[in-house]
Amino acid sequence: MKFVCIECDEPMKFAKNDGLDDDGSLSVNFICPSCEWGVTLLTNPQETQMVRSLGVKIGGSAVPPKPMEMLQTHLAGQRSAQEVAVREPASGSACPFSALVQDTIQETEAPATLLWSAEATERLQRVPEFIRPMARKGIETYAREQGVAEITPNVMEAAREHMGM
Amino acid sequence: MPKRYRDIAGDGGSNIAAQVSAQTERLKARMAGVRHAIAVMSGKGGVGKSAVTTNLAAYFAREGWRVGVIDADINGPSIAKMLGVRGHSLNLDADGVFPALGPLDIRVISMDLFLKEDHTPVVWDGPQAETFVWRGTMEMHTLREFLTDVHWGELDILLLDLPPGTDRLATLNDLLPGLHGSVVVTIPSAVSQLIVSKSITMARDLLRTPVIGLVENMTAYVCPTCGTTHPLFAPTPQAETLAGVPLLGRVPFDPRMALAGDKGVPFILEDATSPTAQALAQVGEGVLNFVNSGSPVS
Repeated sequence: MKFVCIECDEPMKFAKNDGLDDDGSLSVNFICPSCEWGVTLLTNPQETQMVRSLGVKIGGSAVPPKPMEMLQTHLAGQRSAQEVAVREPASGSACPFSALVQDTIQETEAPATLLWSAEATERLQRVPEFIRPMARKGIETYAREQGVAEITPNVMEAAREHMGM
Repeated sequence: MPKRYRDIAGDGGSNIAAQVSAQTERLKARMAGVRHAIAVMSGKGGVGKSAVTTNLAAYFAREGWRVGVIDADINGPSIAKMLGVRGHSLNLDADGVFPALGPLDIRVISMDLFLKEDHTPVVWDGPQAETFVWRGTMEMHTLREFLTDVHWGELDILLLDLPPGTDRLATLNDLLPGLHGSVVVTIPSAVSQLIVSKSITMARDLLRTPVIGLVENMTAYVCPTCGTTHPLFAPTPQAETLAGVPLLGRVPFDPRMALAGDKGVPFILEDATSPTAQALAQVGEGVLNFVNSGSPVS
């Protein structure tokens, strides 16, 4: 699945995955690298499950999947962990989707306070209103990952590069 | 001219194609140690595919081959029971799960080994409405994980026990282009042969996988008391081929074979001199000749 910005005739880039809703629907954001307009792909639960069952991750994955990841993550009524013994305990969730969900939950539950400099705030105002909340969230996520307390135009620029825009 | 799908390199960052490609490479790397991969299939259910699979596995193991068995019947797994590994613990490390070891160290993986209790069905977490949209894909990926994420090690032969129908062979053929061939199981009834002939057409003509041969199972009833045989089905022409596929053997029904399966012991190991075990050995010999010659019988 690919998205093209009609105005710029540019392929849109993956921006962020907002994770799963309770019913299994998914929200994924794509942004045009030229004009920064964005779209949100919303999947219904069946479509989400279809992607999940292929063993791939929307937005890519930096780490290879764990052995039997799909089966162990999604099979109901499994034997206990003692009966399927893990020789090297894995840390965190094995599932890329549930990892995304957890990330989202953690972000929601414990938002770190970030300062926006006047210049950065002014620059953010120039982002089209439609995409502004998503841009803000993407930049703040990047800043938290980098341990940055204050968002400046330089941080915005770095975030933009990091997101491949 | 607006851009079309193929005009755009990549997919905007998810790199799904690369993720799928990585899956394929991992599968290929795992299968590098497997000399021969053979599917046991039938268009029809209840013809004894799993019994043939377990006894073929035991035949090859008895010949000194290193044997692995994948129970590709995800929803109706029976191989773990028939090879006596139900309830065995599975060990998992960072690179894969270690298969259960059955008789003669036959390496086994089956959905049954992951399920909690006897009556536990295979149910996937996910939206329970319209499961037809994704269930088949989930099963396909499970089979992929059985191939990729199990420490098969070096194997002389990997047998895959397929569920009834032709769709799983098509899936397997997609996952494992190096599949060496398939053994087709039928029973001596016109209905079975009608359905099985479709499987043969699918395997040989559409999927272009070699069909090694045909096993006609339950051809007769062997009395366990006196050893005489009686027909189980109305007599059908004793053809030596079906849809051009040669017959590997006719296997008479012996109730002790069912009991052996219930005990988790391949019958071929329990009573090697019985007519049924000898017929199964003949089937094994036919497959052995095929894999040794490196060319299909049909």
